[in-house]
Amino acid sequence: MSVDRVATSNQTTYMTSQMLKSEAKVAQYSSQVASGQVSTTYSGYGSQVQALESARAVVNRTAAYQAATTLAISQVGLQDTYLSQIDTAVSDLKSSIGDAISSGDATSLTDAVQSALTQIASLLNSQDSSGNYVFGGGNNSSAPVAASTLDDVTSASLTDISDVFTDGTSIKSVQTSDTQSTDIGVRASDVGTDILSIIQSYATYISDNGDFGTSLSVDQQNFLSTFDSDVTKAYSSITGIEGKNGDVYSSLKDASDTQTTMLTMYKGFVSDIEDVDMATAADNLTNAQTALQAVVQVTSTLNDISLLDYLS
Amino acid sequence: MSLSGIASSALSALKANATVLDVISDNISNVNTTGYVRRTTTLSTTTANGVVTGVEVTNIKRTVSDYLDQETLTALGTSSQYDTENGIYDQINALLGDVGDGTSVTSRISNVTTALAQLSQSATTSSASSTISALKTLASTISNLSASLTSLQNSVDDQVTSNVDSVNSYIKQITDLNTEIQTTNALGDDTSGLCDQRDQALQGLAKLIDIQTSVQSDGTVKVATTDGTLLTGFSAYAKLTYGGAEDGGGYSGIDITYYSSATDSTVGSQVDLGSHIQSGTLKALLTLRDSDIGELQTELGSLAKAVIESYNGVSNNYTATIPQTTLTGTQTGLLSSDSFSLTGTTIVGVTDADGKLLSTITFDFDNDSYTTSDGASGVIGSTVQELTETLESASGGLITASLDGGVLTLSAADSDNGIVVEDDSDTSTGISHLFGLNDLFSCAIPTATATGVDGGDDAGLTGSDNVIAFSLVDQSGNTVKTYSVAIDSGTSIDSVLDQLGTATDGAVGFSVNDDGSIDIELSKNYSGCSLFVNADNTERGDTGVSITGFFGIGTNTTASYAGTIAVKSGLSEKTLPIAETDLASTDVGDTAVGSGDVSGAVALEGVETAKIAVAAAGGLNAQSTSLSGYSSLVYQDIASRSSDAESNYSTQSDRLTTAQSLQSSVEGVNLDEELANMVVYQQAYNASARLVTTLTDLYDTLLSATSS
Repeated sequence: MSVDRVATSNQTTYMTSQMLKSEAKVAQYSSQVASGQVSTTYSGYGSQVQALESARAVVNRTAAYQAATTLAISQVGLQDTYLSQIDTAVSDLKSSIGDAISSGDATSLTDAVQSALTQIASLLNSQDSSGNYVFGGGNNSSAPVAASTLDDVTSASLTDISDVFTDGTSIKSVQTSDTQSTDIGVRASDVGTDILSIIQSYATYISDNGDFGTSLSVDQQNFLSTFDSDVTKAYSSITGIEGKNGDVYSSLKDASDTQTTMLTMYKGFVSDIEDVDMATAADNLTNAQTALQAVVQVTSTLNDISLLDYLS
Repeated sequence: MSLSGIASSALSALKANATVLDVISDNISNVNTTGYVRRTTTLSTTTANGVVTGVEVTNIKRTVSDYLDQETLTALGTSSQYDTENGIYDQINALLGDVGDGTSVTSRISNVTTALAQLSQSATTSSASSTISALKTLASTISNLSASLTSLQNSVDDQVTSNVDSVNSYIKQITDLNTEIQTTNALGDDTSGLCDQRDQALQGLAKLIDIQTSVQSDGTVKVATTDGTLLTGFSAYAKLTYGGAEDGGGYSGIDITYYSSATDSTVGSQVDLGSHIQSGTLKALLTLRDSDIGELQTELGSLAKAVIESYNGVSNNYTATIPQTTLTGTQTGLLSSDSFSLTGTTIVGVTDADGKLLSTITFDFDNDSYTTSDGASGVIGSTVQELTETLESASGGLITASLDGGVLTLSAADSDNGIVVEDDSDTSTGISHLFGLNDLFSCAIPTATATGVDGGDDAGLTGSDNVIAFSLVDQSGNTVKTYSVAIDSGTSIDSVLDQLGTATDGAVGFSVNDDGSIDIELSKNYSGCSLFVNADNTERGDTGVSITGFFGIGTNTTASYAGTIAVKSGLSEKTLPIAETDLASTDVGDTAVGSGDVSGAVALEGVETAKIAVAAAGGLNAQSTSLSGYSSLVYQDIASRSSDAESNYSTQSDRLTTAQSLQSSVEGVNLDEELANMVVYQQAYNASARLVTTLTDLYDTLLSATSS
């Protein structure tokens, strides 16, 4: 339909509505420039909301995995410290046995064994800063090793060396990604069963045959030779656990690096959707301001022109 | 031509031009009057015996365009409709909070994962406390959102009531003006002012509901909805009545009663107007209330159900780090006489004050048998009562088990002892899962649709007042059919479902599946419809759970999950089920539960991303997704609807602006045009006046000639 006349009132109404629309656009682009975001409401993102929310969830989740992984790394580091001290204690014991065999004087060997037992039990009963037993296997109600002297391991109430271990069955683990979790826990019984069993056999031997003296009998030499061989095996087992713990430490470090990469990637993804392109937003704002000026100018001009001015 | 003829002609011109100037002055005066339609005049010559004798104004006409008027009315309806929708969606968006402010349900789920990750590495009371706090915030975010949507729905319904009143007011105004115009027309008087008023009323009505108008020969206008339902005309007018929200849920319809314009007495029967409304504010309000907000509520309810079942599904594989003397389940809606459907194994252990295992009972549901750590064995049975009795007797008096009001409670007879219930983690259908003994979340009614009951089980209805009222609602939110069924008490579940099906005359079929879930089949005529429960005052025994609530029948039942989701009552740092047990490998006398075991925390971390199957709800199809993904999808749906409403409003607003511009270009006053006309008719008036003075001179000349 062609329009060959306009109503004076509607002309003003129409121009006013155009002004309001232009002002709304200026406000929208001003908000984008000021906040740096496309919109502050969900409706402003329309069909991208699911992608945005999901990406943000991945960011939050990955940050949670990373925080847990960092705690796990310090836990594994703590385990490593104690395991290396146990390693040293067993190594020292091994040296003492070697010295006794080579010199034929084993008078101080029992003290060395006792010292090793005390050290190992004490290290296996270590607690972290929260008071949880590092090698407790999920059991915090009692220390995982209930023996610290040679008498303890030869007690009549002990039917099996496993009875001195009260650790739990749970292996602590950490979730490092949506699909992967890593076992990080080491139980006291896994570390100490072999060595405590050997120490128990030593304690039983001297209990049955008397302590060693300055000169060794053939039987004593044979016993110490077997003892030395068993301690070497136990030492090997402990260094094996130590090595596995080191592998876990290394894999957790890798996981943390992957998490950092994931965080960067998904934060970028969120930013791509959420953050406004500043150059475009500034350009849009300038255009909207120009449009508003134009509408105001036209409205002003239209209002200035009237036949009334020419009638006398 | 005589001098008197000149006088007569000049006087008619004076009168006619004065009338035209009068009309021009009306136009100029009303240049900014809303709804004013400019008047134009028609001048005609007066004749006597074929000889021109002067001029007269034969017609003062309102310059209207019926086509543009109707287009404006239609555009007003659609524009108002989307304006209202857009406004309500703005409010819904405001309920969701700002994007990225961390208050979305998805963010809350992530926060739970964050707290669990912390707990998994640091088994401290503060970590457990943070986890419970995160779980509570997740539940309250969903329930608050649901409450806000319900509040919004009520507010929209209040607006329906006030809009119905406004519609009635406009219809009455138009009817009264019609009567006045008819009378004035008959007397031959000017009706233009009345027509302006009527146009204003029509525009007011068009904003509320879609209308079509047709002007009759007597000047009255017939008004009907676009699909032809009469609102006023032919000596009758419609009055709308609306009863508001109904008890037990749902809303009454909007009915029409016709009254005589002359006597105000009833002349017609009632018809439901709801389905006849195509656009306007009222259409938007009805759609938002019955369809949009209802659908969002259902989606939120479905999300709440997914949250409850996902987290509980994992937590029931774990137990509290310190065995509790009493284990209380959540509301199951089950009766002692109900059958149960369990698979795999469940081991129930009793521990002493130090957490050392005293005895175990191993239930093998696949073989309907149990064995105890003492070497005893026997048959479990098939009903809940048999299960609890078996548990009690097999425990040798160490445990009492009771199902009270749908909630199972296991108590150690000795208050120093604790109870551990370990379900087979591969099956997730053991005693702990069924009765929610290690739940994290609870709901006023059970969310599990696989109830385990058998169709032959007693429905548990007593008394005589057992009525279930439900409706079939089409995809547009219109109620297609409503049923109210009085159910016999003392009958089986199958019988109750048969009674429901029979009442619908085959429109709806209900049946119980093997797992105790319900199958609802709609006949071909109603395919695509959903079921809405208007009222259900049945109660299964003393559980407080209705039949529809028990089976999760009805979209509003699904929606209600969101309203009552909460962290399970009594959940604390001590009872948080995060410890893993292995009772099958634990000897009597050994520690049953590791007091620092947090294996469950790692498993619960996986809930956020684990695949879940979600049934179709609201505007979302059935799908396999993650909890986090589904939560995002619910927000996506709201955003898409909001965005559509905004876009539709923009389009319809432009349409209205165009229609109003075109209408005013024909009907509105142009000041310059009127001023130009004023100059023209002023000149004509002056010339006519000059004729009179000239005639006076002629008479003076003539008189002076005759007197001399």
